Amino acid sequence: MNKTQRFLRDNIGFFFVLPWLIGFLIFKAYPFVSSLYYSFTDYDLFKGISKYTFENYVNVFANKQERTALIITFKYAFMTVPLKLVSALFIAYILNFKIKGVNFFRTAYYIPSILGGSVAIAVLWRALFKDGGLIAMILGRIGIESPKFFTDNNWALFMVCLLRVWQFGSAMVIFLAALKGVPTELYESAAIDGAGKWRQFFKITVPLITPVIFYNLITQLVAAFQEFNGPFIITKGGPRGSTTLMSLLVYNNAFGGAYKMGKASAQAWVLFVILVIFTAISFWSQKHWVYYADEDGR
Amino acid sequence: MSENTKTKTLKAAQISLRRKRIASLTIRYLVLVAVGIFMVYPLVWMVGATFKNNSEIFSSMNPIPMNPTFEGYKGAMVTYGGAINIWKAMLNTYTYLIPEVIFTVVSSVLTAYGFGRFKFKGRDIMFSMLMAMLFLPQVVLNVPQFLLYNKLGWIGSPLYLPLIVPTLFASETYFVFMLIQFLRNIPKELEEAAKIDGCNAMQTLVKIVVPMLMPAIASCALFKFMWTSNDFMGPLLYVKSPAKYPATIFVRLSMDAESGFEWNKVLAISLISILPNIAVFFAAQNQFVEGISAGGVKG
Repeated sequence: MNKTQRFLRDNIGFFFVLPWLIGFLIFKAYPFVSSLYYSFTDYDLFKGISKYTFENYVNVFANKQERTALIITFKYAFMTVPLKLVSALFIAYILNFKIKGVNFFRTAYYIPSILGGSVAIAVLWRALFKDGGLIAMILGRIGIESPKFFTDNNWALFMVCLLRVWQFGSAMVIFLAALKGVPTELYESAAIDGAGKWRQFFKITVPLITPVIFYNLITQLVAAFQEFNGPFIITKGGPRGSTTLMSLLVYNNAFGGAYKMGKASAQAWVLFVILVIFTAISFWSQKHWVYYADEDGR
Repeated sequence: MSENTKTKTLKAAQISLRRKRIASLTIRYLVLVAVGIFMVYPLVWMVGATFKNNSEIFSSMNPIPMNPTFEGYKGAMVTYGGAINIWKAMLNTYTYLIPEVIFTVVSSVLTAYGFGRFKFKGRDIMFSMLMAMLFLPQVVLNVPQFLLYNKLGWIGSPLYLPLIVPTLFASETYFVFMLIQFLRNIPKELEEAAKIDGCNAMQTLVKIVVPMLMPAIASCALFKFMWTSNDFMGPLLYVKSPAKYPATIFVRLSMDAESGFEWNKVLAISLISILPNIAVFFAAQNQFVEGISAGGVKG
């Protein structure tokens, strides 16, 4: 066996990951780095780059429209993620009691999540909540004047949020699997000690499934900060920009007719840095509240 | 206290306990049913609405149509601008969906096998890059990827190159991660035996590893199917000619073109576009639930 053959034999694994490596370099690493570079330019798709500048970043905070989009993105994420996780955990907790028809309910709750990303469901949402739509009619029947869900600034963002909260099913399924792993003896002994259901929930259930809460929190935060389809399809960012999340602004600047690639890149990077900060905070804070069963001495 | 009163109090306590249990069970079911209605009613209503005429759709809560009509479905077959209708749009979706699913599964399995079973130069640094990709949000990649594909002349490609080509290179990091996790729980003895019997690494992968990985592979394929058929942003950026529009873009187009009236038609188009997803979900429900709870999947 010569040198080359031996090298090949010892590094055979490399050839299996080679396709991934090529794709990583071309479709992930290069775009990632180049977008950082573009973000410091005035890159226009047709005019190219004429100067290097910090303006794009300054504008994200100085320009009112961009600052508003940033604030709306935070509002949206901080509304959607807690509502979604609390509903998911609450329903999973109820389903985890020995209840007949668990599978039926689980399926019913899970369907919106699996279909919910589709444009079809966004269309359905419009039909339900539009002026003169189904919900407006139902409210009218019981004598309540329906709010203008999509044309009232105060409602539109909440409606987009509600579409995602409605899809709590996937988070619920993950919670349910975690709850199944909590030993029932713990509940029994707690019950003997006189702990009620609520106390059991907060003192036993929640602490034991913190790794899963943590996991759901991160994935949902990352998804919420990048939300695009909901507001883009249902409200088109309106009314009066009240559902223009950062991701929509990025889209509008880059692809919506302006072709300002530099500006859009900077906005995307601000969003990215925010996500990195939140992920870092979550990871850093996890040692204070996440409980891993296999850790020694805890 | 006499024996008699003792049993009486005990009995009363038992009865009150049972009552309490029944009460709490009832509350639980009430909550479950109420939430269930909130979850399912919109979907049921949607199905019903596609068979209603437009004056009935928003005038009754009842999902069952009073005067069933196929008006909506007839309208749904209309061709827009002489170029595209719902069937063609769905065909377009599957033109890139099927290759995407196959390529994703194959390339992800290869990558996971390489990382999960071998040591090689630079493995650790590459593995941390892979993990980092789990946290790299797509939003920061959209603009530069568009520019890259633009340079390559792939924008508006009739072959959907920007959508398909990256999947050849295990672009869905999450699946690679999930498969590696799954591999860790599979004992290596069989593979070692195969090696002794003279199988090379590739043969071992195909004959031993893939069959054992099958449940995880099925989950990957199913989730990729759902995500790709729901993908809106990708086609929005990279598909330029109406004749090539996939279902997601077509559904949105039909809503924008019709908003105001003809909701039965718009909802019929929407429903047709997700029928395959509904069928796949019900056929492979447990796979989805297991897949999602095994490692947790976004969605």
